[in-house]
Amino acid sequence: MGLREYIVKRIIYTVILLFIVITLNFIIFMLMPGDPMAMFAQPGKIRDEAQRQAVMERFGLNDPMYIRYGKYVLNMLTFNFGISYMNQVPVSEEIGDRMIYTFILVGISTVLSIIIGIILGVLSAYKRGGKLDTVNVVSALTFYSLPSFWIGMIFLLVFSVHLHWFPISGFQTVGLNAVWPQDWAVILGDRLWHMVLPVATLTLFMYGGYLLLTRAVMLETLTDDYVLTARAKGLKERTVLFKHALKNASLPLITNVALSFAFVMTGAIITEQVFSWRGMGQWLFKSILFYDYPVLQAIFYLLALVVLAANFLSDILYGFIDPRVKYG
Amino acid sequence: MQKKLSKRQFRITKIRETLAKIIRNKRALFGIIILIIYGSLAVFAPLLTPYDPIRDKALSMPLSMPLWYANFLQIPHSENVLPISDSYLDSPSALPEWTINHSSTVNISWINFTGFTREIDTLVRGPQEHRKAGCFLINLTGFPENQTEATLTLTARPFIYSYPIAPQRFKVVLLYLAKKVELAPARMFVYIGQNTVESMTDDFVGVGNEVIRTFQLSKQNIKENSETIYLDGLPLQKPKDYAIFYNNGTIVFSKPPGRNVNATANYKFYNRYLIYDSNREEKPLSETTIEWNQLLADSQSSTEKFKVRYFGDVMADPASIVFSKKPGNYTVVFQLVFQKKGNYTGGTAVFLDNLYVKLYGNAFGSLGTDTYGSDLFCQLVFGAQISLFIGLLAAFVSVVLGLTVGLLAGYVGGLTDEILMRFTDILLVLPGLPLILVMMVVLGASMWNLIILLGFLGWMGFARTVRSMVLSLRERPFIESAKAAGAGTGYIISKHVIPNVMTVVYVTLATSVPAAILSEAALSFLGLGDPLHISWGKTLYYAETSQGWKQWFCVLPPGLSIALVSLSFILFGFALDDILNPRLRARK
Repeated sequence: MGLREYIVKRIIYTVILLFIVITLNFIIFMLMPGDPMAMFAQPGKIRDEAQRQAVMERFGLNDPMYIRYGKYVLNMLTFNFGISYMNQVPVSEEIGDRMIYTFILVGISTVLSIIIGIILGVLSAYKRGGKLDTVNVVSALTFYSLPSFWIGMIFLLVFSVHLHWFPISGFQTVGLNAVWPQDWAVILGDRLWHMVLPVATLTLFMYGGYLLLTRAVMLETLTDDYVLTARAKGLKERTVLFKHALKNASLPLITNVALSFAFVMTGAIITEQVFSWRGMGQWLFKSILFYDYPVLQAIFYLLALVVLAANFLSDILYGFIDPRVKYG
Repeated sequence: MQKKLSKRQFRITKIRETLAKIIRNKRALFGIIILIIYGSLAVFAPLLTPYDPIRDKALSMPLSMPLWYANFLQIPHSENVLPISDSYLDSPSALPEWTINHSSTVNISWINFTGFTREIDTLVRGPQEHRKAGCFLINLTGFPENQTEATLTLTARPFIYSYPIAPQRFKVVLLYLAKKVELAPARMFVYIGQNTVESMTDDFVGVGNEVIRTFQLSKQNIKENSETIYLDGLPLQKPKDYAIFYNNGTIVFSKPPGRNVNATANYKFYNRYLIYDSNREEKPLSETTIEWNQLLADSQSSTEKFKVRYFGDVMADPASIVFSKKPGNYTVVFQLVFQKKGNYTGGTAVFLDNLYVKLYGNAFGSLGTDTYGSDLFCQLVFGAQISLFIGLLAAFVSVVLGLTVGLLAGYVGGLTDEILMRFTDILLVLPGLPLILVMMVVLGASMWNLIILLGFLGWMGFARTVRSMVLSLRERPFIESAKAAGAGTGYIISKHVIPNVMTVVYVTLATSVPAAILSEAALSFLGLGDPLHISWGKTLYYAETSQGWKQWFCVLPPGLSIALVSLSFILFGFALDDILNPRLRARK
């Protein structure tokens, strides 16, 4: 089977999966007990049946189930997520705003943790059983075992409460007297200053997994013959490690990075909660407590989309990185 | 028979060898020791602490520091003081402990009395105290000649307050029943101070009299009608902020739990005398008084009620003024004053019980207290119970599920394999923690729901591993020969396939406990934990949502415990993996 057929097959498979996930999202939130009406409307606000009907109509809750499902699937595919029960703002509007914050937070920490994890993992594998290896493995396992919210709490306790180095919460100083774009440096600096602790927390939460995986894969690779050959050629040790060995060891890493997108939200919810960071995680948590179905459906759908896309891309990327991979 | 025995012998030897190898591994040994420590904390939790982690609040000042810490750094601190040893007047010897001055027409005696209802007992004494008998009976036979007042003064043994700082709060509880006081209205005074009752005045705190240093808590008239109960000075008529939970015959006094206190939160109170609905601002459904059962027979009317009165910090923190000359000798005095009104004909009696005084210290126990005055060591050991229980059980459920799915998919193959693996794929795409959060809100925050959810959403990776192992096992010659010998699918799976994947099962069991423990902690931290149990995550939740997160003793012990236990399981699992699946050993 050639590359093209493989890609077509993967696309079909991904689309089917996506549909199943969309349907599951529908079912889960339909099965949820409690009338969303009661949640969205303050008690006493809705006075008569006509008003109730009007509100039901507005949120499209009057239609029979199959029409609601059809509308829902169409809305999902066209990224039209409806109106939030909580504050009655279109979900798509708020998503954009929230997503940027989460993307910055999670993006930076993911990149940082991958870089740190890979470098330390390679060094660990190179000096297997040495002091550095032991320190690396034990600290990676320790950080893996620590609850991420607790790391955040300790950071706040030490660096915010006692040392006053970083702010306690939020993404910018309240009442900061600066205008975009003239004072861009001040604003940017302020944002970065607010980001240090959340990013550090998330990075510590994630890097351990990458370190251990890199180490394990590199241990396998380093015993291969071509590494011996590269060494025999008199190449620098750094070149051997990072150019020859790491390239071949990177396949499982890519799969892992792709799969980890599903877990990113876990870290985001907790970190954003601890640091009052107004991103998707905080929003998701609030929406769960308020039974805000449109928001929840939108977030779950987008998450599934991201994960599926990442898995799909990683499968395709395999072939470009490693020509030995046969599709099929 | 002989064969079976030797097989068992062989297995025992194998297990012994494995154990020996594990113990030789330094990291695994570390893990095992930590697990044994936390395991015994969990098992012996009720023996290690006299308190209950949920019910016992206000044991000491909020955020009291650990005692050893205060001693070690020589921080000026105070501890709880209970000046009256036999508060509950359990035995006849309670009477001689008090110095009694009384008018000639007033007499006091100790009577045996078992008429306390269970409710009043738990409300006043707290859940840990046992129900005991006895109270003081004060009879007024008349008034002395030419006097309009008859007095009875009960002075407790002086106690030495030895701490360098004043207590930040104190509480006085007093239980009384008054009979026939319309002709001789009585007033109750409670004093705490350094002086005898003769020199005590009516000075209130605001005056700040340095010489007298006596605080008169109340001189309220004793009434026969029902009154509102005051707990810690907070009138309970405003159920918005505080509520009394009545749970298994004990009373929990707390704010409504959880972050999601919203319009739908509907609390049910099974309290016999205080029933509040947090949604409605209605009067209590039943009265705040309790019938005195036993003595009803010889009382004149049936309207007599037993009343509980708490003299809490009615004023803003009088403790520091009352105890301003610290350290020193102090006394507690209860004074009862009858006033003549018209032509007194006799028959007035007052029953007194539960003369309870507590001075709250700011250092407590081995790990201090949290914002609600609950013992943190108690929370730690009971938290170990819950965290380990949830972690182990959830890991077990997920491993069993993963094993089943993996075996079926791998061995049966074909359509079964396809369906099961696609199902696995779907579950892998769904976001883990958000889904659990949603389901917890849907199903309700209970421990069993959490275990089921964690188990059902944690098996996918393991199922894949088992499937791939079974796929390669299926083609091995020994399976072929079993098939050729006519063995059925069930037999082959149970006798040939499962024993070969068991090593992976043990390892996965050990390594998936931390994931469950961490998930439980995260959920509890977000306020979705089981409200009936305390866990390490919930201790951290309480800390995060109050001022507790700024105190190291609130944050460090539970967090480190989660980390240590998780790490131990991982190290143990890795060591087990090295020993049971020796793939890596050949390479140097």
